[in-house]
Amino acid sequence: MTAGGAPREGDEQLMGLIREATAAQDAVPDRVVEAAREAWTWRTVDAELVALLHDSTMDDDALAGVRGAGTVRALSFGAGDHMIEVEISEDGDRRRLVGQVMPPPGPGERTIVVDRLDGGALELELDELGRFEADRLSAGLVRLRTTDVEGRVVTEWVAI
Amino acid sequence: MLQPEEARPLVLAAAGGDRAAWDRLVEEFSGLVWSVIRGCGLFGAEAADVSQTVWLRFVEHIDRLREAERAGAWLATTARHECFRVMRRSGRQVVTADVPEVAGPDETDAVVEALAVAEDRGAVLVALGRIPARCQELLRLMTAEPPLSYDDIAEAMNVPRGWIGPTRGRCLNHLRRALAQDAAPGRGPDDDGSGIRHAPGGSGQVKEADR
Repeated sequence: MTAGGAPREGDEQLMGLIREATAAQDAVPDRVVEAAREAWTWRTVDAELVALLHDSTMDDDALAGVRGAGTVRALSFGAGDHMIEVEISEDGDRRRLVGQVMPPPGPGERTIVVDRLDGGALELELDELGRFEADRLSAGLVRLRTTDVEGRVVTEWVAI
Repeated sequence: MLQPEEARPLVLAAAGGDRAAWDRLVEEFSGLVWSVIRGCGLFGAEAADVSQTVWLRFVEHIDRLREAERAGAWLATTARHECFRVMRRSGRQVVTADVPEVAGPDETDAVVEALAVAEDRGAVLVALGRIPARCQELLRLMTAEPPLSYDDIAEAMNVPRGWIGPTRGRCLNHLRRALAQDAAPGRGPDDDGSGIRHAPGGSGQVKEADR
């Protein structure tokens, strides 16, 4: 018997076997590599990125399994003075989004666009407080684009 | 294979708008991202979606990476984080418990040797799938290509650097036990001659106290 985590003879051979086995039989699928290449086409250089700062999914109560039917997921995106808050409710594969852009955009710029990775962009109106809502979106990767008083902003992609 | 010092110019070129540099980064690192996601326990469409999220994040962040030469570490950390997000969203438990110590049966060396000679990769993967979740994760990270440094792995798994070596040793012993059991199918999981009782279910969920 060899105890505990002490290095023993054959460790490197075993690591080599794992390396070979995963490389040969669990390699990244071609379509996944192709999709990664295509991520480049979503590159934006003319907007400020607002990062996903908070996702209620990652909260401790979500961890403990409190998350039940009808739970609303809350996301906060932010960078500098820009902030976009979104609440998402699920109904099967459908999603309802309710959110707010802060600070609210000026009168000429009251729209926000939901980009969908699988194609299509949905333009939503913002009210004078920067609020928006969208119903019956299908699940998938999305990002939000808008123009607030400081300029163009785009959120990180997030799976909803 | 990409050397660590080669990542930096590729990242800088891609950040400057060079599509070919991007394609090269994908070619070099897509396997690493996949290893992390598979190690965290996802497969199929979910794994593909997480991979895509990671690469979209990389496009967004490529012009603001603090350490361009550590793109692999950034990708591994992001992949693990996004993997856990998906698991939590679907109500699956994320195992953060430490890996229990087990003794590695001595007779496994012959089993390992036989597998190496037979090039039986399937058996290795099956056994890998039966050891504690954190071990699957660590061993996948430690055998990813291009290789991650201990610092990269510590950052990605959010553990101290000194945790890695001893845990690897324990995990390899778990793997030896799984291999020995698979090689001797007549014996029950609680009677592999090691005198150590297996957790119910044999592997996966470890219910020790958190680290």
